Amino acid sequence: MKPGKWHALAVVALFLALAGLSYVTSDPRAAVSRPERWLRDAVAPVQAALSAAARWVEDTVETVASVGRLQEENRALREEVARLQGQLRELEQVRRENERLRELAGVNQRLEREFVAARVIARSHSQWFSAVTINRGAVDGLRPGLPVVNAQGAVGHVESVTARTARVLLLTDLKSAVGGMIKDSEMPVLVEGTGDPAGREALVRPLVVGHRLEPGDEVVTSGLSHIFPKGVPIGVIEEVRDDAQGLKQLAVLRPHVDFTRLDWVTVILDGEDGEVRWWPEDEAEEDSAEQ
Amino acid sequence: MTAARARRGLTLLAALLALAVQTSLFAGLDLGGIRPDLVLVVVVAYALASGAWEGALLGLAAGFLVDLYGGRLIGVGTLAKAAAGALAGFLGEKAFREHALVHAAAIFVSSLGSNGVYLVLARAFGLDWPLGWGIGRVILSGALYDALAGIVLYPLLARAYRAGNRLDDRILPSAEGG
Repeated sequence: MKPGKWHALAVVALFLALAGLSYVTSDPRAAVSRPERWLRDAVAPVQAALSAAARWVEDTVETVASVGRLQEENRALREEVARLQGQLRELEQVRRENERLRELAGVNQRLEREFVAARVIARSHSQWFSAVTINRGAVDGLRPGLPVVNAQGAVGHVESVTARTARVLLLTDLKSAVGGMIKDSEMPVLVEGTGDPAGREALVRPLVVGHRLEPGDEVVTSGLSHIFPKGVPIGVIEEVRDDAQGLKQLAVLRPHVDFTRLDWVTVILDGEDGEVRWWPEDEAEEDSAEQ
Repeated sequence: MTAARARRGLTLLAALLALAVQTSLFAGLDLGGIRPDLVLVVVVAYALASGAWEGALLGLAAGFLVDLYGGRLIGVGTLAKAAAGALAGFLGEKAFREHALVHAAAIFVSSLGSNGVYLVLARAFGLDWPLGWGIGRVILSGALYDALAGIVLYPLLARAYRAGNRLDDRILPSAEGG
């Protein structure tokens, strides 16, 4: 066979191999192959360091901006402010860090479950997918399928883990589907990701015929998808669309979580069982009912 | 080791570093969820200097690394980046390469091509991203952002060119001699 034909055969074989590989990996996978694990673990320390640097720059810029405003209001203290700027910057960064951790601690208190706090060290490799990498992995007890939340509500679930990192599939990924319910009526719905790169919307499909969705309905997890416990906030319905016959409804939901600014998250280790009392008024209601 | 191999190896390493940077350091620079594809910028810069065939090969290797890291649709990004490398290499053979705007234009066109290939192949494998935002937001906005990143990073890329040329000068005589 001529070399030109060998080349053509090699290209066809490569194309077929890649097509096969694409087919096999078109859905989120819990199992991670060894080369994938090596690559993720090799890149993770660099990502963690760069994320920390990015956060420091972001915090410093914000702090400097707020210091600038203060200077205008307090001209008399300008010299004093200039002298204290360095200390202020550091304090401000510590305050923000504390705020985030306090928020997280608040969530963790509400969860009353076994959990692991983790930090987002990397975003998805491509805007076509909605996933993040966190700095906790199998050695911390994480495994595929565990629910991930933050102070605002449901974030997603652990898709796959390596020894020290985990990939979290966000609620807004095209392949994400979570069981939800309307908070007030407890009507079951399915919350599906749209793949929106900004993570600003998800779709809600009612699972009960005849029950109407309304804009403003609060959606929480139902516990039926075997990922999240019941009661974790997901978002608010913004818009409701009917199909041509008016028989089926489809709603657009705005998630509570800001998926573009994820930092600290909590991985719930004891899974989907039971219910979460997320809002303080829920606890108050339950207490008064008990009395 | 030949100069070409050293250049390929170093560029692949640069692509890996670009992947780490775009997923972490650049994560906060997203505009409506769109972030610059720095791996594409590296592939295009290499392809402009080295031609269509070399660009396609590097795109293939870098795309495979990115796919392997991402773990989803492994192979689709590989082919998309190979197409981008080939396209940029082809453009490099036709245009004056060492100019920031040529870089930006090549990155814009290659990004359109790469994400277009990605969308078509991904839909063939059952990932039905809505075409509206797929084309409008991800492909067009992404190409603009990638081109902007190319302009900003041009001084760095130009320096990499010169380093590559010095590498050629240093390695070629010894390779020819030995």
